Amino acid sequence: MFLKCGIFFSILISPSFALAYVDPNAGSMILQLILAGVGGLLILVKIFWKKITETVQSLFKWKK
Amino acid sequence: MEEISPLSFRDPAGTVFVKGNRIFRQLTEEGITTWDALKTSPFFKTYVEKGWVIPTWDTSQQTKPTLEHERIPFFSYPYEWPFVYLKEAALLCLEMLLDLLSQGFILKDATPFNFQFKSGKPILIDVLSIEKKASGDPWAGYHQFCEGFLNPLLLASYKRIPHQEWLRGSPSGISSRHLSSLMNGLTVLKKGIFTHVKMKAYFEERFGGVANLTRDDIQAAQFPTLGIIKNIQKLQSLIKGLTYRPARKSTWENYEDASSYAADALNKKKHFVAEMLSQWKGALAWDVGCNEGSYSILASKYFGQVVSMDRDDQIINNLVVKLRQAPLGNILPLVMDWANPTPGMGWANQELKSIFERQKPDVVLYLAFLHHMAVQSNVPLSLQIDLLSKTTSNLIIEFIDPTDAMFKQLMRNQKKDLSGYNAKAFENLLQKNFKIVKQEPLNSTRTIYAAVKNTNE
Repeated sequence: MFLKCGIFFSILISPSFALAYVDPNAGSMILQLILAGVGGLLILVKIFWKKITETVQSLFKWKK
Repeated sequence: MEEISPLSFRDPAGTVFVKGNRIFRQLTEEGITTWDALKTSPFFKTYVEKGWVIPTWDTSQQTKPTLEHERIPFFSYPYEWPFVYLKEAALLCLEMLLDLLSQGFILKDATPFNFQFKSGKPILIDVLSIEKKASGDPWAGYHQFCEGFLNPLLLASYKRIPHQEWLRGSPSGISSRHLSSLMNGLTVLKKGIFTHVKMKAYFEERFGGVANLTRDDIQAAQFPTLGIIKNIQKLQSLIKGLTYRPARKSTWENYEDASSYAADALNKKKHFVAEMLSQWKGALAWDVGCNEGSYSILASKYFGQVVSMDRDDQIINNLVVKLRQAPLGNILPLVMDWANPTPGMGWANQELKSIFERQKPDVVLYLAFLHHMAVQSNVPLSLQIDLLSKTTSNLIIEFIDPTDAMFKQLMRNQKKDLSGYNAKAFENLLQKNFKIVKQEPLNSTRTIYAAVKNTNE
């Protein structure tokens, strides 16, 4: 429970994504990862890390 | 004559159609792959034997790959089920999921509409929702499970709000966002609320943008199956702990005991009903305004299936408990307000059938109910009889005179003109559509009738 609350609040302060067409399944899938415990959290970090690096890379390409 | 089932048009695996009294499912390419995996699996036969899955067999001809399913005696929907039924269907869904996951399969959907009730027990009817689990895939049905099963159960158990009306307003389920706004104060501390309602509602809103995260992203990162199992086990424990908590003591609870029948009148009534039912033996009987279900139990001896309807969810839950003790599997208790019965809903109002578009009853029991409809719902006798004539050919109906003690009790705060409400007027109206084959006074204020629909109708 403590772990879940910690993650929940750290996500609370994270930047929000643009809401175009709302797909509640996306949010449910992130929640499932959190509920899956340590294994799920590692996957979550992996996915978001990939997203962040992709964003940084695309910004870098744009600036060039 | 083939009739395509409107419930199946969303399914990419196959189309269900009804031919006479039989149910078939014509398979698409996707359906053929799923069925091939299922029929060779070690579990499918066991599931059918255990009563988890509807008996299904291959009736394919060379060009048309087709399955046949055993017919459910009477189709019902989650917004008609009592709390206990919804809970049992949810638990079967989770138990099956755990077993399937251990064998590399999963239920691709987790909607209560994939289940029906047969002999008082839930059964999966959408066999093609069982499919091989792709490696690393999350449980795609989690969102559907929460909205269709979990949230209605939480609403009823924690907030004492019967789930039926809310689910009927929104058949796909009660959204976590809506439920979240109800679950405030100390309710947040109740099991499951923070995780499956509050957090879920927040995450849906914050990460609902389609561009953010897809199922493919998660699959590529290999979602651990153990994580799905852990989540399902927690949901199992949560749902097992949810109990039915009615809002109040039902007005109609113990109504039969409290009613003003003398033992003699009650015996006469039971004897009359039993005699007529034994003559009219058939497949399906409806007991409208069933109350404690005594006459449904009587009808279950002579009819293959009895559907007991009452608008009071507490009465219906009590009936389920009573039937489990007997046990009587051929009685299906449903929460149904006869003054506002289930309409056709979903796409083109055809996807989910109205109560009148399902299997027609061979007989309707309408006992000590006319005056409730007339007084509480303001439905005139003529309209009640007209609806009954469109519903059934055989009718057992009881007329209660306004001078009856229980009738007077109903009228104590009502100012109604009852000048047209008398036995003579009732008989005249009844005989416009039906022929009275037998009638018997039960006491000075109550008369019971057996009537058969006029053949020229």
